[in-house]
Amino acid sequence: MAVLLSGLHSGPNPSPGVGTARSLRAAYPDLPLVGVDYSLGSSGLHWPEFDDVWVAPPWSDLDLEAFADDIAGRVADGSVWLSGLDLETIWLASNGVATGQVLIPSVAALRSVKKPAAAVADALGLGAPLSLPLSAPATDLAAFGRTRGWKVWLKGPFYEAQRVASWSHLLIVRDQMKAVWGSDDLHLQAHVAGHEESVTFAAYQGVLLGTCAMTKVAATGEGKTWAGTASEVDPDLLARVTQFVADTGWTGGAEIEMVRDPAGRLWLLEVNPRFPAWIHGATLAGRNLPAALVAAGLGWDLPEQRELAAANQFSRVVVEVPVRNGFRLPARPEPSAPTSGAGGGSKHPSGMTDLARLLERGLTPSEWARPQGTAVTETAAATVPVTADDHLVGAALMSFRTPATTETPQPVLLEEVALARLGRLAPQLAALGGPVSVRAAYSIKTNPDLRLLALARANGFLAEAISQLEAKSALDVGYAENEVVLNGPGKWWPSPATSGPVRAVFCDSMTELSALTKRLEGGEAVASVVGVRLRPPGIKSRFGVPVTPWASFLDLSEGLRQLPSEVEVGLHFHAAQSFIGVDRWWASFEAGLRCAVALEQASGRPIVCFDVGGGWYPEEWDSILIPRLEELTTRVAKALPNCRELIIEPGKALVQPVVAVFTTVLDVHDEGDSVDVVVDAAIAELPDAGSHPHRVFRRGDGASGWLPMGPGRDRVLGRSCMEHDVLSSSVSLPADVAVGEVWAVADAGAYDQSMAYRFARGGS
Amino acid sequence: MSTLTTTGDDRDVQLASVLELVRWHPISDPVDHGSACCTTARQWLSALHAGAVPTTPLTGLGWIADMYPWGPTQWPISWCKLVEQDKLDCGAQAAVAREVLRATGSALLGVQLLIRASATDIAHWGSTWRDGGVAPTWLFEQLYYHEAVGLVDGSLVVFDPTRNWKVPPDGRMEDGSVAAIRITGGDAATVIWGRHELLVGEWVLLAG
Ligand SMILES: Cc1ncc(COP(=O)(O)O)c(C=O)c1O
Ligand SMILES: [Zn+2]
Repeated sequence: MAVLLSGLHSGPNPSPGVGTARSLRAAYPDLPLVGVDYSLGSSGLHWPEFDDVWVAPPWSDLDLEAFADDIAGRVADGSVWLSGLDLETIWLASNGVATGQVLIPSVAALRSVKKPAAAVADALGLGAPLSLPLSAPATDLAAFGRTRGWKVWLKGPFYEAQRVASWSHLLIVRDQMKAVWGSDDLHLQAHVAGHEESVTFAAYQGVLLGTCAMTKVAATGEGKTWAGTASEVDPDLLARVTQFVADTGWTGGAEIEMVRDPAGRLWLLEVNPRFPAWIHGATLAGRNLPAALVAAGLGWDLPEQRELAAANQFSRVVVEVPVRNGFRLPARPEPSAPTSGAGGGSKHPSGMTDLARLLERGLTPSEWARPQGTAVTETAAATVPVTADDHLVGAALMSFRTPATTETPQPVLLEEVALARLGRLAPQLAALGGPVSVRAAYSIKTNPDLRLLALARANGFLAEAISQLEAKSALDVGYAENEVVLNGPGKWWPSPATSGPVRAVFCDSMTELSALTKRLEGGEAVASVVGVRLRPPGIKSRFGVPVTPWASFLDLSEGLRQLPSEVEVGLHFHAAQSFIGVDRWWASFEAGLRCAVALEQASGRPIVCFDVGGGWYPEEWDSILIPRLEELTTRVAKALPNCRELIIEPGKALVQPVVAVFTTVLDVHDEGDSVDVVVDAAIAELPDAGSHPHRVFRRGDGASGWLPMGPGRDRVLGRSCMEHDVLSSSVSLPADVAVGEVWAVADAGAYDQSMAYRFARGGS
Repeated sequence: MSTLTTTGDDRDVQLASVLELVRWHPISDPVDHGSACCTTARQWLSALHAGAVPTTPLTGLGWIADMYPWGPTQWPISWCKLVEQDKLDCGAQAAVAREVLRATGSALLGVQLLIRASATDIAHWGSTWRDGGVAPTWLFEQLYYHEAVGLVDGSLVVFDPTRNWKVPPDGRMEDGSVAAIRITGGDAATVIWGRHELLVGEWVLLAG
């Protein structure tokens, strides 16, 4: 008779086997303990408290049926098995291996804690962070990340979570996780800022045997516990855990991982169907849960539970132990060998990545379907801003004669979409009223197409230029000089395009401000409003004038004070919402505005104009900024009583959806589980392809018109010879795709246009 | 932290005499010149705070000690001088926290603490202060005086801007333990802090 413990690795991302063994040894000095793992790379094999170890072959080599029989044989003498590996638990449960002797939850109980475990969160009275399955449309996934300033995680159903920092990073991590775990069943989850806490419990056939709460005090780089404080579980949560254990008939150890936000609310991160690696920390605090579980499994009396010890904190230390007698460390793979999978120095010495693949193949999706997750998923989808003018783009494409292959790749301006997006703004701004008038300035750099510039002018926009060449374009389409706003570090380049005063100039540095002051003092009528671009506190940027430390703030205030009295003073900030997210944008706006208030006071110069820049993404512009414009204006009016004009400088918010690039399919390759299509457009025509998803439209049959392709894992590749020339890697291509078809890559109206370059086209 | 060597009895006698010394010591409050210089300084501090994206009133204050690490401050000090400093002491840091949170309408209280620390730590801080040209009047034998801010949200939360953390009601800190606390300001006569009911305006001794 023995207790078999699997999952022994004790490294930076440890399994619980060693801690479980130490706890059992503390309660039962003579209980035989057998450690089980799947490679010699599992360091805990050498832990001296194991009486014996069983190193099974790697999962990829195992004959699973024979292994199941082996386990049954080993526990036939009344021994029990405690699994310390999530995936092993799933395999054991779904194959009914040695039921009764193996102290793990049932398949149904395991299914309930599959991530994202929204129903469990509900049952436990915990918040469930919003999540979105990776099978959602690319535009929704990108919006989910972008609105949160990419404070999001990509997670697997049972393993691994990685922060993703941008759309292109998401695609990379998605592919890496697929390569390591072999699964597409991933989801994005919103990050919850706070302190991590856990509750671990032991249960036997639906009866809770014991619990312990733990607050992480120190963690490894991967976020694994290094030190913690153990405590009693809060009574309300305890009642819910008791109910959950009863409802699921739980057997085995478990860990509920949570994060407590600054307001004190607990959010569920995940429920693991095994003891945590820090389980011995609970034992040190007087809660020996492994002993309680083993006693229940063997029908022994429960060991006496001490009350929580006063010294309830624990820390890990690094300890060298001798390699077990008769064993050797694994041979080192040659330096070029991959380091994933089982083997020496591996990140996954228990072979979990191999087992994941086996399970992926062996378990039908329906068996592990996620009925509980849908509610949260729907809520998450509802929080994703809708894709800008989807139907309009499809309809606008109808008005084009599908170009011949010889005429592609060809960008086309979707005039109906442009009219709709630019045209709807003027009445929205006019409706605002109040003492501050709101003006939009078209960001010329974003797309300098003169047709768009003229349309902007016709719809009451000002023009925002970052060079004299851009200013000249504005004048060329009929803008008056006092309708031009000059921004950026190189706004005077290459040579003067205007003679009369422009509406506003925002200097990018103190040097530029003094040079401009000299010109104004010399009688040059450069602009009616002069000021600087602020670098608001909390924003890292190469642009603008810093307002910290205090000495820099005083310099700036002095610079504004010295501006000749004929000019009025304005201030500007720009922080790209598409990059920093919505909350941070609003915080930067508030910080910039308060700087303006302080500068008005310090310089004695009334601030008559406040410019909040551009950088909004189309979806968030439509669904967040426009509905909150009134709030924005009211806030400016209240903070800056002398302010007459609030300027916003949308670029991509308006024009990103107004251009599509027609392109012809050149080649189709079947890549096994996905299809690659090569088209004649490339990163040269779509240089911004990597930064945000571009919808790909295809002409449907008959009346159905142009429709965007659905989400999937097929790829649309550019014609060039660059590895990164990937136009999309998240579409589902139609089964009948054929060489010679013409498609339209949409959402190409912003920097794709202004930054397009000549590449792979031969001599000019 | 080095080991405390004083016996329990000595500690009580010492605490009593220090309480006599700090009894009349108000919370640190910078002077306002009543003109643009100080108004601007306070507006500027509130701009810095706005950039920090607070999610609750007491979070997002980490920028204070980031911008003004803990160090000697020569008192009295005006707001327009305070913002010029490279370092600020705990009283000045707490004053900045109260100032930037005032606008949120939260009822903020002054918090004064006497914290037990080792003789070696105290000797070390004393020489840092003297090197900075400021008399270390906040240091006593194995005790030091500290300021924080309090927010009543049902019960009292004590936030320490110097370390960007909450002081737990059991008074156990990384480098010592709270021996006594005094809350000032607000309308209530008492506030609940963990299992303590604190009389506002009075020094309250904590066991341990
Ligand atoms: C000052 C300023 N205004 C407006 C814009 C327009 O940005 P977007 O096209 O992202 O809206 C930019 C872009 O960098 C900018 O720097
Ligand atoms: Zn002053």
